[in-house]
Amino acid sequence: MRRQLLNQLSGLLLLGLLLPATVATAAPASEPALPKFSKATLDAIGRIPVQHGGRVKPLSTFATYSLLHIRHRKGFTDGDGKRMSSTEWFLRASLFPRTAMRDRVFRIEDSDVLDAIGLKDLKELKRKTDYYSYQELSPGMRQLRQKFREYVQVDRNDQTRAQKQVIALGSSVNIYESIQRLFVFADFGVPLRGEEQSGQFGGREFAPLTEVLKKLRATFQAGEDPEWAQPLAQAALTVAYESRGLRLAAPISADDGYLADWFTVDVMVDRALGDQPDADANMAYIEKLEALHAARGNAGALEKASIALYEEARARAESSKAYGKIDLEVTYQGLKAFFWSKWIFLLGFFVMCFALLFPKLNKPLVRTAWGLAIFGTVLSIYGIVLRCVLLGRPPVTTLYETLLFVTGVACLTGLAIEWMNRRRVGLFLVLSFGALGMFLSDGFELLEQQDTMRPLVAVLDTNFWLATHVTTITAGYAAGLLAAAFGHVYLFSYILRIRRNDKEYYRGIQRMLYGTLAFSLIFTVVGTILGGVWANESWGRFWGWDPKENGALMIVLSQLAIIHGRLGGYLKGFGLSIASIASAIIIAFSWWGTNLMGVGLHAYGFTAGLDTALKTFYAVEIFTMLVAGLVWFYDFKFASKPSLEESVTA
Amino acid sequence: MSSQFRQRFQRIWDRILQPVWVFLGSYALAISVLLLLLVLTYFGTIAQIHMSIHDAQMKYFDSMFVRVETPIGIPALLPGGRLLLILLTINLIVGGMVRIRRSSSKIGIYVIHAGILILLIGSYFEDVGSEKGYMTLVEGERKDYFHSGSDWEVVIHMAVNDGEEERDFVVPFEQLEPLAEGGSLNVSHPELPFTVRLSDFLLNSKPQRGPDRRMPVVLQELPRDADEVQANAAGISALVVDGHGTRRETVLWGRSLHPWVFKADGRDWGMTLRKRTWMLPYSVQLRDAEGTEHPGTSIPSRYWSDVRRYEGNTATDVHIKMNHPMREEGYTFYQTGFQRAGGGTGKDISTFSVVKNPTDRVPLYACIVIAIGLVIHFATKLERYMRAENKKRELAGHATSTA
Repeated sequence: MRRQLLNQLSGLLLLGLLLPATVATAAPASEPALPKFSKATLDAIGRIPVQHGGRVKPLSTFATYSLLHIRHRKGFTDGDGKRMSSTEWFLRASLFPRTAMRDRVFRIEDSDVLDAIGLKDLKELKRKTDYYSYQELSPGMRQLRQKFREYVQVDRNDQTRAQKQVIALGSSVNIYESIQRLFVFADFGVPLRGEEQSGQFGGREFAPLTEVLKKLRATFQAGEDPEWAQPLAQAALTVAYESRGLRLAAPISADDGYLADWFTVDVMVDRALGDQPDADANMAYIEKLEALHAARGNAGALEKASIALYEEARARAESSKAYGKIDLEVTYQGLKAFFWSKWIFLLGFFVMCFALLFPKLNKPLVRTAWGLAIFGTVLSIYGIVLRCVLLGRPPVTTLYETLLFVTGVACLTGLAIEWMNRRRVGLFLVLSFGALGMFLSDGFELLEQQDTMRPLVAVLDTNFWLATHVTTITAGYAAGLLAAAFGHVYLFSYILRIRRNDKEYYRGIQRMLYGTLAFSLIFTVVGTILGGVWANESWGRFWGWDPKENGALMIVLSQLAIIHGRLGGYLKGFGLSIASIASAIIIAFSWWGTNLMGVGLHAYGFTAGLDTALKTFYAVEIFTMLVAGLVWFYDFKFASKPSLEESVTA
Repeated sequence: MSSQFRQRFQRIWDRILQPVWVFLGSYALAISVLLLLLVLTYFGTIAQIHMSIHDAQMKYFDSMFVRVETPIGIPALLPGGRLLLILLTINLIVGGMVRIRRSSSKIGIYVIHAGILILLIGSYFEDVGSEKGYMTLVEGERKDYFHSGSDWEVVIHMAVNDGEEERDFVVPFEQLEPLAEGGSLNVSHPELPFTVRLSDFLLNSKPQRGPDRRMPVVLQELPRDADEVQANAAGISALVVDGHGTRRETVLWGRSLHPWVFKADGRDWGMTLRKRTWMLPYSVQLRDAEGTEHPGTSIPSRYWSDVRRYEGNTATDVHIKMNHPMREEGYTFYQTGFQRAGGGTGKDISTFSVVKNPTDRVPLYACIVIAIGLVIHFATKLERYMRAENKKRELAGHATSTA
């Protein structure tokens, strides 16, 4: 019966999208002053398990990626310059919506989008890329929702840049409102209509939701169904429906709480009114939420209410065996392994530079760089392992993860090479490659603006093939790029005339390059064929000539051509270096380019960012090859002495 | 005579055949073919922005030559995938296996080349010897055949009396396909009391009201859907002329539910245009199909089918899901599609890819062989490299201590 009521309401409440934020804008400005949230409060709130994006995660993760989507940053700085974590911002936006609506939290990359939603005046006051508050955008909300609904119907490939901007802003507003309205049910309570309803609650106009629910439950359990009861139940559901933005509560004692549907506030209200066995538990959860809202003005009371809510949420999730990895994920997020390894690698890189500049301090500096390289690599790999444990699958399933994995494998390979020959070139490359890889993964996360741990589509859900094909081919990318990095060292040394007469130096780089390329070839060949074997197992065809398959084939072909070129005597040190860089361009095309095929003038946001980065990479690499080619040509044509190439290969 | 012949052959060998033999096994040819294949793959990939994967495959990889537009706007003629793979196979055999210097250090290379050869030969047999199609089943439905996604055939069915054997006469797709370019095909058979003239083969079409009662329906050509080849409905014109010179004309449409029925030589005949169909040595019934999404999203998490396979008097229950196909008697069933019950039927629908591929496991074996070869070869090289590096370090250390 309650479900039917919900269904009836759904049509009406879909209008939620149409309506401007009635709750936040029309509400009386009665909100207590913001207290200072204690560490314990933030910790408890951050650990509350929620279900979002198809998986169970701590609320802190949800808050972080919501903020990243809206503000393009993982933290928030208020008007007074106070920096706060995403969990703190979440509490502020949900418990203090009237204060938070003045926070400039919406990042708009291109203010032209304001024209589309009728806010031309606002545009003139701002920079092209700027931050906006919910209040500032409010006058354009109706138009924004209307256009958002219209544009999401357009095929993604046909959407114009302006349409994509509207969709991006619209989805930010949707996320924000799901947080902003989370406690609407507690903020207002249930409106009581008519004397009969009002009379049940001492003549009041509004009553707290839990009070209403208790009254209704008592009435229904007594077998009564007075005239005021059904409309009141409907009103309670309507209020709760406004707070439906987050799946907060695990079902009690589900077989697999990770796969079952979790409950939003309205579903809990519906079940609290019904005769399901979890009615009391749902009632208790709503009470805890209401208590948290009631305690919001007092830091001490808020801490107690937060802990009580967390314990309730945890007990529910544990009853469905769905809490297991929450604490580990909080640890993973708090560790910031990739963030720190980025700075460690960078520090190591500078230490190596100093080692080159101050030969007297060479030994201690190189040892320090060794330590930093090992520490950075271990920390990155620890982060990757934590992700594997959290997701329960091999380390490479998304483009973001390929960045981490490629960096990790390249660093390990570089360390192995350095351990074998102690020429310091490997060490230098580990530090620069590690820093670059981690900077790129960081940048990618900022561009993508969504949780980097996502559930897999059915066809990818096979740990065997993910562990074999995907990791193998990605390791091939890593080694191929590292080979190209050796190629860069060779070419830069050659262009800048470093150790010009040190044949052994150039021969050494050449050998390392060739060895890494051969190592890469093993993985790309085996990985590509394994990909075909997987496709054969899943779809019954070994090879379908699709862009990703073709990309992998192109890498294999380029590396085979290089290896045969070297064996046939066509490629020596210089040629091998140039060819390894050309092969790196092909790796980049296969790895990223095939995902961006067909991206044209309409690219926006994430896609445009990737497209620019990729084209920049192509341009820089082609430029490097051209400059090296010109220097070689100059040597060949004008140098009286035998060219370096001849002297090295002689 | 024989020594003269030998001398002549020697001269021809020295002047022509040997250089050709050397060229066929040369690094230069290997590198050229690999680079051309690389360039072709690039064009074949980029082309997929504007054309379907099927069309790109046909144009670039299933061809001997292909005309491409270079980035500077000048068209160029490239060898197609088929030609390059033939050249690569020859080069691999001649250069990588016959002419290669015999030595223990080359064992890894032999193994790698043998693996690639297995892969190339396996792909060839897959290309010519496999049957690939689809079977769509509604819950409860049972079928003992599957059909192609893109190929059509015309079937002439002879109505039989009790005790007579069923007879179908099939005009295969290979004979129909050229008709799409124009022309006609006359079909006759000693057992057919008539000839059939097929013409105007349309790869996608829809029926329309005809000009008069003699021709009540005609076909209108539609652009072929290159992305969803299964969505095309072919059409063809058929003219039947029996021994008395009586002419009957009709159009056959791929989506028609009933065959066109006519009389000839005192017997009923049916003619139909249908997707190319293969019979199975058993039948398959869909008992239950299910699909789930990750909670709160539209991302499919799992879909699977419970089928029952009937063969003679035995029935076997099999669970088919993504990455876990059913393999039986050379045919493999892969779960490729799932559609939730619609139209009030309450019955879900599963689509399976059905493949008969005698070389099904060849790529896996080739992969293992190649991996072993690569590891042998490069491990030997690495070991040698490390030995050399250690020696160098020892020498350097010795030099320092001596100094």
